[in-house]
Amino acid sequence: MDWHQLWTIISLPDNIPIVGLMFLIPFYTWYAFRQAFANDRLIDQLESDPEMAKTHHRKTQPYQKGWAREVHVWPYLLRIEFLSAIIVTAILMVWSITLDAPLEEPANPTLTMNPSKAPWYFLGLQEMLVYFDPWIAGVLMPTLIIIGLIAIPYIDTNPLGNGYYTYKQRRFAIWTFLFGFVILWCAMVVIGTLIRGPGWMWFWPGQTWDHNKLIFEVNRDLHEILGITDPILYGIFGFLVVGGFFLITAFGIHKLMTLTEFNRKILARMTLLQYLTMQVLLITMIGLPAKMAARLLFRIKYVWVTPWFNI
Amino acid sequence: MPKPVDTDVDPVVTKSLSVPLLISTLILTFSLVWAIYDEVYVMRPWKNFQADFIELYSSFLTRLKPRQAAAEAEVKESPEYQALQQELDGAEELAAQRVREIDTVVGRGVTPRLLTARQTFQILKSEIDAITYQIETETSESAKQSLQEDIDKIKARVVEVNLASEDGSGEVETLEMKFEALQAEFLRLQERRVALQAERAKVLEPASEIRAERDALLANRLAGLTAQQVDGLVNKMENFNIEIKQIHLNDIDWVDRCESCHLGTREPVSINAEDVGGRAEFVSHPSLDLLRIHDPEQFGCSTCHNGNGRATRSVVKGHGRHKFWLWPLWHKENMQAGCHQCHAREVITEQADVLNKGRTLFLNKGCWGCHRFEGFDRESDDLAAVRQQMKIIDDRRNANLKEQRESIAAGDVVEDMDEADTLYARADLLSLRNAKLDAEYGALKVEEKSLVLETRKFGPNLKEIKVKLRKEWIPVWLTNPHEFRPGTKMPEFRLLEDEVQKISAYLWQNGIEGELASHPPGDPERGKELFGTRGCLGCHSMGEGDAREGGNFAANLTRVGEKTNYDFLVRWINNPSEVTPDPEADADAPHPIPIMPSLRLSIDEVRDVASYLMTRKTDATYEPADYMDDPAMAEEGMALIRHYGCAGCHEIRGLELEGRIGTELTLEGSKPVERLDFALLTHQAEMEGWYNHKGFFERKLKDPAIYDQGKMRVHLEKLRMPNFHLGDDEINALTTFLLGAVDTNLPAHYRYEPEDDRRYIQEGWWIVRRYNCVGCHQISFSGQSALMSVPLYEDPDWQEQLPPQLYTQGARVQPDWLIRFLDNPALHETDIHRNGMRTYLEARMPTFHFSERQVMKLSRFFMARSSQSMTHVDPGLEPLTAQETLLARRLFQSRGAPCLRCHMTGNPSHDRDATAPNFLTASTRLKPDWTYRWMLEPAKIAPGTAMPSELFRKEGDRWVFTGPLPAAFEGYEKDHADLLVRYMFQLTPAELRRLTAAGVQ
Repeated sequence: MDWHQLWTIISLPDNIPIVGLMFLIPFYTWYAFRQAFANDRLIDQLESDPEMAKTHHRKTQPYQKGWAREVHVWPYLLRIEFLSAIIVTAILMVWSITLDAPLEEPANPTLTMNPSKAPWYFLGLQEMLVYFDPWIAGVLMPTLIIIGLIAIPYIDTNPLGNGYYTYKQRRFAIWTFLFGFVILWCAMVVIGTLIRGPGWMWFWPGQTWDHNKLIFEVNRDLHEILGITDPILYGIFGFLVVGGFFLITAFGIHKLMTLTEFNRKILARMTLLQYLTMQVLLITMIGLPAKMAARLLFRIKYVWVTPWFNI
Repeated sequence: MPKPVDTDVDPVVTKSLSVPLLISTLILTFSLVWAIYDEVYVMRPWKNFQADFIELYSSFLTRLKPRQAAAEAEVKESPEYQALQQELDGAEELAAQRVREIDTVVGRGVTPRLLTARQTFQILKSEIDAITYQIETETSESAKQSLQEDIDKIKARVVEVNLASEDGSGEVETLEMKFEALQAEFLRLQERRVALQAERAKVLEPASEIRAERDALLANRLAGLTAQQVDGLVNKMENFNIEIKQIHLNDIDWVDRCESCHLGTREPVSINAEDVGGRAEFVSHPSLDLLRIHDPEQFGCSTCHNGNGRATRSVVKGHGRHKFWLWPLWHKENMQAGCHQCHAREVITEQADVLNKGRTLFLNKGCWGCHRFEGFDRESDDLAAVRQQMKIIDDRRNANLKEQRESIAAGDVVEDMDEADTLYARADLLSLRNAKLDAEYGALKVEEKSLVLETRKFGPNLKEIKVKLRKEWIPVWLTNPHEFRPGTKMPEFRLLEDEVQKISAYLWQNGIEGELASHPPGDPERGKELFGTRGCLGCHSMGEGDAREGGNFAANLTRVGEKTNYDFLVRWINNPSEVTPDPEADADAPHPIPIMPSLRLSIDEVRDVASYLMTRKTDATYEPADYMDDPAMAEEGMALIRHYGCAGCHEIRGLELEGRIGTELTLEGSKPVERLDFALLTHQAEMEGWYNHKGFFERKLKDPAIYDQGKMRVHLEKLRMPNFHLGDDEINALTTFLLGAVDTNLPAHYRYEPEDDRRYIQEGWWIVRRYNCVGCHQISFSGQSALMSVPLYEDPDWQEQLPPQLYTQGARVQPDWLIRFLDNPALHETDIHRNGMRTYLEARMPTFHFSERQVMKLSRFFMARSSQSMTHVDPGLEPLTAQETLLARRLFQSRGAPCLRCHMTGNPSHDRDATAPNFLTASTRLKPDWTYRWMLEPAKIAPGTAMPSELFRKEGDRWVFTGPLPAAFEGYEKDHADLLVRYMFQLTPAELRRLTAAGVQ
């Protein structure tokens, strides 16, 4: 166990946000769930006793007779925000006093640093480059991410859960978020920061980052494994595999969407365009871990090889 | 049961946030205070340094002042100072009367009147000037006219002027004047004041001169500052501003703030760490002399020392000893690395002994055999460049010829006469151009000839191996040269036994077959004596361990008898340039001159020395090596020789065109550290803090195989660099040199690349080092020649036998003579088995067979070092009168000046014991002004010389002989030393015979 190496990595000012992220994200996820479950219990209670809903609570907050049904933003909300602003400012002050900007040596165009890493918030993208062609990982996927984020309000037909924490009413949204942000984005940032060493090779925490490390890694295209040699044939074959993946995943997602009464209700509110957009985005999102698994577990380089692009 | 909620109170509305707000605001305030403290103190540590420095330095100065005051008082009490002081007082008194008068007239009369006149004058003048400007810019003629009238009106105006009286009485007279009169009065007063002030200065001039002389005396006698100057420094410290001290070099936008902490660097007092409480950061620069040449205001600090000149936040950052700063401060032992970036042309840089040692090692250990380094092996680079140039000129010549022919042909057929003229003129021009190109080509051809002779590989020529070496010895040597001859330049390769055998076989089978003349044996006893005294020890050494004596430039000959044969040794010592004819090569082709010079020994002496050397052996036995005749072995040997790069240093048949196998090192110091292959030691180096150039070089030089450690490699894939068995100081010197070998980002005018005489000094050192002139001669004061360390020469009698010191050689001798001497030190075509100049020396100035180019370079080197020109103009000494000849002759023979006791006369029995050259050579060899200085103060020019000092004493403006003067000198008013110089330079052989015949009276 190379503690020195480990310490070098996690103590780098550049990596402080990542180390923070590793603790803060689980904490806030837990915290949000706690609140959501509490509210869910309350919702159950109020649903079983509609009378109580009229007198006992304002939305999900506890409510007493004689209280105002609504309170003003100023001062009751803003003072809390003000308090947060003060605390965050103090934290940023201390941070900027104690940790300098992580500048490195003057750039040398003839010498690329190794490992050369993107800023921490882009490490997820960089990690994707391992699994996809640059134009897919670097152009297509990020564009889809942005389009997807923009599209969320237009796809989301669930009217519940605005302004309070709830799990029960937004299961689908919460799981999609957890999967897309926490599992895919944050985990890949952590991998890119702590795990990927010189040559973008995989080093477990505590392993020495050795520039001379050699690893045996032979990745082959799926059609090579299966022994298809004709370009036209394996082009068609790749299309079938990718298409098959889309269909099967779409079917799986559809199954989920019709699993419960609640889901079916939501689905019924969606137009075909909304539903198809959601399907495409979700399938693409699932495509990433699928490809990662194919690469890491089965050493498959590409599934679909064409003269123009490879997937 | 849950706690009942207080139903009356709404927590959202009523809950107070005062406490959290208070606490967080306090935290915010604290962080703000912290930020200010951080900004003001933590990020500016130099403030504390400056405060400390003011305190420590002031207290040091306070302690220093009484010491300096005492020393100053001592100087002031010395008779010389007192005499000057008295003289000064006298001169001042002499001037005092007139100075007082002038001061009174100027101070009381002229100046007050001038001031009062100026008041009115200036008002009028400015009025006129303003109108004049209007006239100048006015366009209409009539307006100009009217303005001019305004001026005239002003000039006609009569004004009342109050003028102080000029006699100094202080009275004020009121005059009515017009402008012109007032102007005249004003100018008169100004002129009078200037004249009086000039007179005052003139009256005081003698006193000022004496004062300057007195102050110069004080400055010369007093070590350090005067009490007054120390006071000035104390004062400076009292008014010290705590602020960033910055040097900004405008032309390269270079900023150095080193002196924000290193405040003592440029103080005029020498400050040691113990003077300032052990704080090493406050000491003054160790060589203020160096700072004078490289003024920090023009050169900065980190340009030479490296480090991060802009950083002021911490010691680590300022020194750049930081992973991300590519130019960390040189470590103390490598400080001189900084010199090389600008002094890259030199092999010897003054005051950079470590760096010079590194370069000299690189040159004389043959590192450049495998590693190209610009400047080393420059002959072959130059040769390539010259040949390239010759080719270009040749091409241009041919093109011109062709065009010329075409122009003439075209001119012949064209009908228009003008056009024909143009074509013929073109042809003329081309033929002129070709004439110029022919001249250039000729010059290059001469240079090429020299270069061919100079270009040679570092090690011995292995084509001679068969005539030279004992067959069985070769594999023993190859296995580990350092075992046979500790300290040899041939490094130890990590060869397997079969590799040794194969390489030996190839070398042996590719040696030239040749017959050596057979010689009768000589006398080893006499040979030993000759070896010790003829100067062989300037380069070669003999004996091992403590018994070793001699220079380490060439081979240690302790066991030379084991490796070679007698007949070869005789040939080699007799004439190292002689080679066995190579049947495959062009017999007339020039072959490079070896470094080993010819000592011009007679053939008997050669045999004696060779016989002696053949006795130098141990009783080691050598295994028979029949495999060396196996052609199959040789074939494999060739590949190995190529692999190990043997041909980088040795001439080997069949491998003449092999290149260097090592990496180029010219810019090795700026190679990114990532490109230095630490291999499996990378992580260890990072942990232990030597993952940098210094760490890499030091370890690689100590053990060239170190970066193979832990690697699984087949033998031929391993690192090839052989082990030179360098000492720690040698490693440090080479590391310093390599660290300094950087791609400097300083512009050309920072680099020391002079085009004048100083360039000859740079170039000359290369030859001096390459041919080891310093083995026998002292060329710079700091250098010891190798001969000086030989025990024999420590004997006072033998010290006179040391070859001459060459500090002022350029001032001493005439360039033409030096060229002749370097070309042929015997100064004779046939009588060569002797020294040309100092025949009394046992050590012999050898014939190096320098090329023309080298002779010129060396002569220029010596001339430039003494600031002499390469053209010597005969100064035209005043001819001696008959009386003067007589006087000089007397002086020469006088008992007080037994010149001829030591100087050679041409009489063989006398010259054997002489210790100085013959006077007859003076007029062609020496320069009169040097000779004059030499006679006055020889010990200053050559410390330790046998030539007696104080032969002359100063008497007024002339030098007079110190010893008893012959009676005839009465009434001779001229300089005696000058007389002797003139006599010497006009000495004829007949006159010398007359002198010697008469003997000393």
